[in-house]
Order: sequence, then C-alpha cells, then structure tokens
Amino acid sequence: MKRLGKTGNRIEREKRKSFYIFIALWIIGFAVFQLIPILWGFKVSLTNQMAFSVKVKNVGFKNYQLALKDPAVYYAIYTTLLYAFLNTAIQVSLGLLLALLIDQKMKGQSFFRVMFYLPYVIPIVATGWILRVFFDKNVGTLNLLLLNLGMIKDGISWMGEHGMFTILTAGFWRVGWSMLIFIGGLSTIPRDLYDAASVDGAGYLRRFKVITLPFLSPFIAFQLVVSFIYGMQVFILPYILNPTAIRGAQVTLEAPPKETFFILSKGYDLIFNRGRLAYGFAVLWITFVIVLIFSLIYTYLVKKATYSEMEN
Amino acid sequence: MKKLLVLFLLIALTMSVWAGGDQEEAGPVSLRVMSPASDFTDAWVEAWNSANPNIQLVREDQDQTKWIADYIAGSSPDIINLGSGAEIPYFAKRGMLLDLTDYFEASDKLNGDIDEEGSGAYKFEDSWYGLPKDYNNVTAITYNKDIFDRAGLAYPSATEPMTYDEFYTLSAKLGAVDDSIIGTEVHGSWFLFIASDMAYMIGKTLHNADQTMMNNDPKVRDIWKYFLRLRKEGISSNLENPLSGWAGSAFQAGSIGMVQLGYWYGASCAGVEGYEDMYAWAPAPVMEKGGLRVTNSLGATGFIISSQTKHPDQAFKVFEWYMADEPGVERAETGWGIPPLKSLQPLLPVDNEFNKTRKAIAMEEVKYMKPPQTSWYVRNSVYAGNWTEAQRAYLNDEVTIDGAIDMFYKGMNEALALGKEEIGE
Repeated sequence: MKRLGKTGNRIEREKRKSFYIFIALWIIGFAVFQLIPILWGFKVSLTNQMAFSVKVKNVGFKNYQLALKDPAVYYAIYTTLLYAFLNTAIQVSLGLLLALLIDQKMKGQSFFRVMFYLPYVIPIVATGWILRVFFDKNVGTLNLLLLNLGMIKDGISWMGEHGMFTILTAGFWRVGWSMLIFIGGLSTIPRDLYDAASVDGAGYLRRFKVITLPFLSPFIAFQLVVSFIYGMQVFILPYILNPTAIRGAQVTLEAPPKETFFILSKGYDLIFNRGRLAYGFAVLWITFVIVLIFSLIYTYLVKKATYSEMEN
Repeated sequence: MKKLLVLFLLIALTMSVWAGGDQEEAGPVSLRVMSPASDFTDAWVEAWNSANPNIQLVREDQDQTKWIADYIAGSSPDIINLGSGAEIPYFAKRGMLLDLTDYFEASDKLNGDIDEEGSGAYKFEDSWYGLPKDYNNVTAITYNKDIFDRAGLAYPSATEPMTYDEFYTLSAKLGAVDDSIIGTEVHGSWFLFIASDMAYMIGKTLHNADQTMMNNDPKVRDIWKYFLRLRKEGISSNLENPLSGWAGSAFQAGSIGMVQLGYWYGASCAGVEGYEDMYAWAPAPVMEKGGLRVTNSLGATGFIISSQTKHPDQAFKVFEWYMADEPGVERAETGWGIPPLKSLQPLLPVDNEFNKTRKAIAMEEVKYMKPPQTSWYVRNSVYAGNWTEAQRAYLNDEVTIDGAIDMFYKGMNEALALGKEEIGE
C-alpha cells in the first residue's frame, strides 16, 4: 500500500473525522430510539414480566426454552418462512419480467412504468383494506366478477379458506418497487454488448442468459435478500385480511387464522392482547436470530452466483 | 471551524434530547384523555377548554397498545376510556386505577344519584374506580321483522323472554330462509358475557372458586358448546361463510335474523330509513322458561382515572362534568345507552314504539344485571384469543367439540396461572 506523507495522513484523519461527525446524528438516533429499546426488550425477556406486573423476577432463559417447545411458535415461524419465500419469488420473478417488458422501446413506456409502480406508493394498510373489500365473500369484486363470468356458482371465502393466497396477492400488487430496482439494473448494462451479440446471431433468450442475467445478478441477489427480510416482517396484512368481523379500529384484537398468523403478529398478540411481555419479547428475539441466520446463508449463497465486473 | 460548529450543534441537540427530569409546571394543567372521539367529542373538549383555561384537555385516540407502553413508561394518560367495566377488577388488582370513592362521596353531582345496579361493575371491593359513560343490557334481542315474515315465524314477545334453546331453534329457521342470511351472530368477544349470564342462570360459575381454573362441570362445558355449534352448523358466520362487516352492520344490511347487542343498538338502527317498522325488540333469553333471569352490561364502556395521574383533583373535575353536566345530558338524550345517573334517565328518547319498547326492556333488565364472570387474573382479550384458537381448530375439524373446550380450557388455565403470578399472589 502506498505510504501517505504527513499531509496525506492529516487529510485522511480529517476525512475520517468528518465521516464520524456526519453519521453521529444517525447513530445517536439509532441508539436512543432503536438499540436501547431492543436491548431493553432482551433484558425483559429474561424476566417473568407481564404487561402490568406488580412483581418482576429474573428467570434466565426460561422464556426462550418455553418458546422453543411451543408448537404454535414453530408453526408461526414455518408459515412466515413459507410466506417470505413465496413472496420473494413473486417479487423477483414478476419484478424482473415487468422490468424487461418496460425496458422495450415503445410508446407509453413512461406511462406503464408509472402505472406499475403506483400501487407500491399506496400505504400497506390501505392496500390491505382495498384487498379486504376485493376478496370479500359476499360483496367482493373478485367473487362478483367470477360469478358473472359463470366461473363459480357460489362466492368463495378467499380470506377464510385461502388466506395465504390473499396475502400473497399484496405481493403482486406491490411489485413496483422490485421492478424499479431491476429497471435500474438494466440501465447499467452496456447496450453495445447486445448489439455485438445480435451481430453474432444470438437470439433473445441467449442474450438474456449470457448478458442480461449476469449483469443483473447483483440486483437479483440484493432483491432476494431484501424481499426475504421484508417478507419475514409482514405484520398488519394478516390482521386486515382476517376472515372474522372487524369493527372500527379493533383490527388487531382478533388473531388471524393459523395459516396466516405470522411470527410478528404472534409476538404482538402475545405482548399486547395476552399481556405476556417477556415471553413475547423472547419469541421476537428468536425470530431475529432466525432471520439473521437465513439472511447470512442467503447472502453467502447468492454471492457465489453473482457476477461482478470487479472480479472479472 | 465548520466541523467544530457542526460537532457543537450535535452535542447541543443530544443534550436537549436528554434534558429532562421533572420540570415544574407553570400555568395551566394539561390532562390527556384517551378515548375515541365518539365517546369524548372534540366539541366537548373545546367547550371544556374554553370554560376552564386552567385545566386544558388533550384527547388522543383509544389505543390499548399505546396505553400499555405508556403505563410501563410511567406516563399513562390521565383519563381513560375503558371498553368494558368487566376489566375493572383486573386493573384495580394491579394498582392502575385511582380510587374515586372519596371523590364520589364529596361530589354534589354524583353522590346519591348513581344507579348502582347498572354501574356496579365499576365498583370493586367496596371502592369506586369509575363510572360507565352509559350502560346497556347487551343481551337483549333486536330482530328483523322481514326475515321473520319470510320464514313464516311469529315475532317474539317483547315482555316474555324465550329460552336459549328456543333462540337457537329460531335462529336456525331464520338462517334457512336464504343462503345470504344467517340466523344470529354473537358479536366479537361477547360470547364471554352471554356465557356468564347462562352460568349464573343455572347456578354455576365459569371458574373454580379462586378463579385459577376454568370450571370443568359438564353443564358449564355445554354452555361453551352452544357457541361452537352456532358456528359449526352455519347458524352464525364461520370460515366458509364469513360476515361482511360486523354483527351490527350485517344486521342493518339485512343479513342477520336476530342479534343480541342491547339498548344502544337502537340508536345505531335509527340511521336506517324505516327502522322503526323493520326492527323490533325482545328481552334477553333465559335458560329455563320462567326461571332465573340474569343479564349483564359487559360492565359497560366508561371512564377511569389513572393512578399515575399527577393531577387527580383536576382529572376528577373533568370526570364529574363529563358524567353529570352537558356531555352526560347530551348522551342521555341521544339514547345510546342508559345514563349511570338516575336523574338523567328520564331524558332517554321515547318518541316512537321502537324506542319505547327498547327502553322498557332495558329498564326491566337492569333489575337482573350481574357483573360478568371474568377473572381478574386475565383480560377479556385473553379469553377471546384462546377461544378463537379453539373455535378455529374445531371448525377446521382438527379437534372434536370436547377437544375444542379442552383446548380453550388449557389456554385459559395457563393464562390464569400467569395472571396470578403477575399480581404477585
């Protein structure tokens, strides 16, 4: 490594000082509003504290032991992982497909780009309510359409009998973000590579396999990991798409069906509906560890499959 | 120089975040009222604030999650809307409520005027902890006359209660009128309060003597099975045939034959054109014809003052005004519930037969009110959560009906044990 002179060292030190000063505010905010509460949650998880406990005592890792023996927790983790994987597959495949379509030079390209992205801008809660009406058994748009087309004889209870499917449709609805990432990725591919490939007689699929996919691989890897993490954190959709009656703002009072009772909702239900503060925190910490392990494995595997110009 | 300035600003900002501790309050006292706007309107807040510059109110939406978080942080709202007075013992045992007994005794407006039969859920171990904003006989029946006509059934009596078996049979017949109609629907977690009444009427309790376990008596188990059968047999909504909306809205949409929602629901129905001809009332069912009558108000929605309030006297002033003055009068006149103060009860609307009947039934049923049989070791939401799990397992054929009761009991017994530990007993 090139040795820096006195002036060089001073400049480096100044740069480092500036860097730390500028990120200090974020670090302080993160520490105060996220790190400290997270660590407090871990501390509480080592006690027997309920929501309004009069007396609290340390119980060590008893809550963790209980959670690891609880079949309901295992099922919630399993169903969350299933959702996360399926949602990731939708986000990546559909997002990539839409990006490839939008990338064609055609009339209305900007219009379609905006239209496909627009649903993503709608807050997730609003999306949930829209889908709730869409999937309603008695008055829902989907059932009315299918009934009028003669494809079904009676309305289907989508939320009651096909809960996972209804929640996954929110993934279809919100694929705009993924599409945008891939559009950005496609814009980094040098066009002359395609021209050269065309001259060499490569068809569309060959060009996609040999040029597009390798160049997009870092973006696909990024989207695989990020979509997975977001999928593991799904919370409000299962409550809104709950088949039971919801009155007013009491959305989170009644637990969703087992199939869509994902782990964050389970943690929330344990803490706020059942008052089991310490146990709920233990469940959430276990979830954090699982997500971390899966993310690390994921990152390691996709890194191997990722093309990098730097390496080549 | 610039960097030093930035560093200084960051330090100053951090210090201002940490600058805290109790600061002496100068000027008006500010009280936080946690309540939905429908129960503590912004107009009332404005009226109070204009008339009382030294006690300013700030309303925030009711949010159980926020209340728990605030309470743990030691900064609970001062005046809180409690969804169900049945939970008064739960909160009182945890020291979360301000004892208002002395305040009531010293109050010219409240002392001697409280309807103790209807407001009794807010009294625990001889101490008053709040009052209902109004109360209702929540198991009284509202029925749809048109659905009865289509089913070829006679209307129920407005004075003689039917039995729960008759109610069940009637609901099944009403639901058979049309695929889009269900016979009856139990609203939310109100199965718990209906079960409580049923148990009282057969001389049983829902828990054992010290409330640490659910009562495994076969007759009590039959009570829980009643609710499961309603769903399994399609008399109420289920996973295959869910409701659009909730029991009240679905009833007004003509999808339900009978609901047990109580007096207040009449005020909601008044928004439907022709309601007085479409709907009618029947008293809450009983277990045996001519037998013991028991009703409940689910403890009633009301207000309490937090034990963490730093301004108890001022908070009580607001509480007293809310119950006895302008807001209390307005609530009584709208007919959304029976006022907790006897002097306000004559203000209830009786402008048509519909309102006269519902008032007559309500005032009669007040005599039979008993506090809901919920344990102070757990909240109502715990019963609802465990019940929902067991009910879903039964509806999905994962367990038998007895298996579902066992599942419900297991969850409840564990929760009751944890609740006992929570109180430190």
